[in-house]
Amino acid sequence: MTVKRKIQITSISCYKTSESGHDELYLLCQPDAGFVKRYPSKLASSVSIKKDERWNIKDFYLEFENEVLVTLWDQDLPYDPALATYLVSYDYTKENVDASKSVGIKNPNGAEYKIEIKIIA
Amino acid sequence: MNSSIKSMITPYAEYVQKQPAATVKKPNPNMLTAPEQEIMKEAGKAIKTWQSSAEGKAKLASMQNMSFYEINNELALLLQNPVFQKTMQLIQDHPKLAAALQSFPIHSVSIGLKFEGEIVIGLTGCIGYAVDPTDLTGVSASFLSLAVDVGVDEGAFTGIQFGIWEVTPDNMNGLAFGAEATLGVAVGLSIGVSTGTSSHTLGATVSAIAGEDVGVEFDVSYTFLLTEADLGLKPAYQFPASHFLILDKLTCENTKDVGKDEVYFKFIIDGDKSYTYPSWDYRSMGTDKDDNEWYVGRSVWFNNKVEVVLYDSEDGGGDDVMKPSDSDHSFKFTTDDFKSDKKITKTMDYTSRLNEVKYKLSAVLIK
Repeated sequence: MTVKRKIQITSISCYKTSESGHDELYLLCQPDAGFVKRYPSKLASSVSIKKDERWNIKDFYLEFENEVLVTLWDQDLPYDPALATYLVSYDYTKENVDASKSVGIKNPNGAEYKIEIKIIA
Repeated sequence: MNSSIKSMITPYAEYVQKQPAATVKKPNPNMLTAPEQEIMKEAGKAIKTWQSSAEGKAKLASMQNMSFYEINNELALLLQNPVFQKTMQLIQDHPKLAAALQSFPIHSVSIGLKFEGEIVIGLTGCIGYAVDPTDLTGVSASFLSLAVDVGVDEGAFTGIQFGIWEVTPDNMNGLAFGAEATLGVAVGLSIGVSTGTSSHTLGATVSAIAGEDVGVEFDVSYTFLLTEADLGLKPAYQFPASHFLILDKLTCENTKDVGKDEVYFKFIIDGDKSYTYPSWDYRSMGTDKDDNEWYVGRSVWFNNKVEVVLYDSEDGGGDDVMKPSDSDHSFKFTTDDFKSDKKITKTMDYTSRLNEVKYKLSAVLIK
C-alpha cells in the first residue's frame, strides 16, 4: 500500500512582483505528473497581489505519492494562457516536504514569493 | 465539433480508454425524491424550451465552432437565463425540505454541452461549467466528463445537460457510476443519477432526448477539472510508466546569447510524447549567482529514456534550440545512467558562432 502525503497550501506571500504594480496570481499544481489542479478553481480567475501582501488560503489541499510541483503564474490577459508569466515554482517531494513548510523562491524576472504549507498527512 | 476542442479532449479520452473496467457500486436509479424529480423535470423543460427557441438554436449552432473558453462563458450565462429561473428557485428551496425529501445536499449545479463519438468511438461526454447554486459568481469550475458507451457512433454536440451535485464545484473530479433512465418518449427527457466513487457523493443530470425508450442504462464516467494547461493545448498529464525521475536543477555556465538566455525546455518521453516546461513563458538564465541556477522540479514518468531539448525564447517567435549540431537533444537520461547513483548530472557543452554554450542538468531517479 502506497502511503500518500497530503499538504494544505495555507498562504502565498509576495515580496516582489514580476512587473510594476500587481501580479494577477493563480496556481497550477501537478501531483505525481498527473492531472493538474488549479487554484482558484474558476478558470481565468486570479488574485491580485502586490509587494508585501499575503494571500491566505483556507481550502486548498494537495495529495501526492512522490511529489507535487506547485507553479505560480501571473495572468496577464484572461483567456489567453499563452500570455501568462511564469513566476516561481517549488517541487514538494516525500524527502523535502517536512522541511519545506515555508519556502522563499525568486525568479530573475523580479518575482519573489514565499509559499507556506501545513502538513496534513 | 471543432479541432481545438478535439485536441483538448484527446488526452483525456486516451486516459479513459486505458482504465481497467471499474467495479463500483451501482446507484439506485430511483433514488431521487419527488421534489428532486421536480427539479430535474423543470430543468429538462427549460432545456427543451431553450433548445427549440430561435436564440437557443442559433447559440447551439455557433457553439460548434467556439473555443472551450467561449463555450464556458456561454454556459455560465445560460445558467442565468430566465428560462432556468424556476429551476434555480427550486434548488434554492431544496435545503428547506424535510430531511427525508433530500437525497443529498446540493452544493453544485452544472450546465454542459453533451457530445458523442468522433473523438474516440465508444465515448460520450460533456464539457461544462459548475458553480455554487447559492452564489452564481462564487466558486466555480470547468470540467470534462467522459463515459464509455459502446453504442454510440455519431460525432457531434448533442445538446445541453443540466446537473445537481453533492460535491462542491472544485471537487468534481473523479470516477462516478451512473444510471440513466428515459422518462417516457412523450416527455422526451433522460434523467441520470450517479454515485461518485472517490468521494461517495451523489448527483443527478437531465437532458432532452429524441427517440425510443431504452430503459435504464448504467455507465462509468470520469470527470476532469480543466485548467489553463488544457485550454492552451499544452498537455501536462503523463501516463504512469515503470520509472519516475525529477529533473532537478538546471545550471547555466555559459549563455548562448550575449547577456541572458530566456530558457524553457521540451522533454520527450521514450521517443514519443513531448511536453513543455514551463508550459508558457521562460526563465531568464545567466552566469550571475542570482540567475545561474533554476530549481526546476519537473517530474517525468518513463520506461527507457527522457530527452530534454533546451530553447532560448526570442521575441516574435522563432525560438532558438540549444543543442550540439550533431545531436537531436540537449540532455538525455536513460535507465542505465542511474545504475550506480540515483542522482546524476549531465553536461551540454558546444560552440555556437564561436561562443561556448554550457549548461548542466541534474536528475534524480525516484523509482
